[in-house]
Amino acid sequence: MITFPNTSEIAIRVADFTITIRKSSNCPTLFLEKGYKEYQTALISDVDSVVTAYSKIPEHLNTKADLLYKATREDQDFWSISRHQDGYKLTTYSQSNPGIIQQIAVIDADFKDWKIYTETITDPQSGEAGVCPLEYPMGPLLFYYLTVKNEAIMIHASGINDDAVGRIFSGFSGVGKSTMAKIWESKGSQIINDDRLIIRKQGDNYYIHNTPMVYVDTPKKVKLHTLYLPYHSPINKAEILSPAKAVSKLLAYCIIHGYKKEHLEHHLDFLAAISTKHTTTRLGVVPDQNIIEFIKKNENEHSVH
Amino acid sequence: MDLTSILEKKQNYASRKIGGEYVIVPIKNNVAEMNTLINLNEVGSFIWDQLQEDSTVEAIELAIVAEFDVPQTTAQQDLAKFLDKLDRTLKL
Repeated sequence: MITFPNTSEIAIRVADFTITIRKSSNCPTLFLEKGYKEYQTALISDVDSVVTAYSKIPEHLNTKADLLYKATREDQDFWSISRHQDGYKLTTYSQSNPGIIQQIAVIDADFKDWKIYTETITDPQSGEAGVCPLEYPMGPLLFYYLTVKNEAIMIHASGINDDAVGRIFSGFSGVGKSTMAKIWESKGSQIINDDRLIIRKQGDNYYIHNTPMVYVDTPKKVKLHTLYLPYHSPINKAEILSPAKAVSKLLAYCIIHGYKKEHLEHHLDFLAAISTKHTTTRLGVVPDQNIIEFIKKNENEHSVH
Repeated sequence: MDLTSILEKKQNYASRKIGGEYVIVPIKNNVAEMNTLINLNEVGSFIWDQLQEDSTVEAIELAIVAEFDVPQTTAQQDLAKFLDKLDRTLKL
């Protein structure tokens, strides 16, 4: 845990979105999970989201009225979203104590202003009491709702920076995302992340960004070049997908925390635009260093831009 | 064939035409069901476009004949097969 004693406001920058985090007057020390360490940035006035942390969950917010969607994980409540006044209420649930509310965020209709109510916890290292408003999964949920307001998506993928050329390798667990990342790293490339990325349109280009994880890492980004969908294969082979096929495959690997049709349509529109501009290739992979030359040769032959 | 059933089910799907082909995503309880995505080819995508509230099978047949320059009997048979499959695939 990172602690911010005697500090009433901090800012983080994730995927070039700036989020300020303030504590309310009744709130003890601000905490962030350690994965946010390198994401802290200077305070600025023009921000994408404002988080205010409160140190107790008010009884009146603990209702199940106007539920829009509830997400479960391994048959346990994970998080839910409801209508609340003119905006929304997002509730996260403890994964170690099933059914117990972890945090409640009261959010404005524009998903910019997040009032996050949370119980006070004690940092085991410093012994200090405080609140951690972006405790998992609240942080990734906030990032998700930033992506649907902007031209961006969150996706299960590993991202590689190969001398300023960005490639992503997307798929479910077990297809070799981390293995591919390690192979590229062994050849001198930088791993943006090997599990979860934000792809964001900035200007005329798409950029791959990492997001805070449970471990400490620096914020990284690279301009996107090509998307790959790897699978285990006895030989290295490549098949370029039509834009429509690419969209239907990539959509399955997107991290989707939306609760209405418009969110899905946002993902479809974003993937349609990216698949029209960038090639998506199904990639049969033998997991050794030859795959790097195979990929580069294949890109040269197909003049991928 | 009556198109009412297909048109009713069509509302439960998000769709986007990408490079002339539709990607169709079923939505249940406001959430996408990724394991039953549908990709339509060029002809299927053309028919999907024709499936509007006031559509009739006969009008879609004539539109296929005009668009793809095929005999009406071929359009009739292929459309019937396609609509039958679509009606069985789409869910309420």
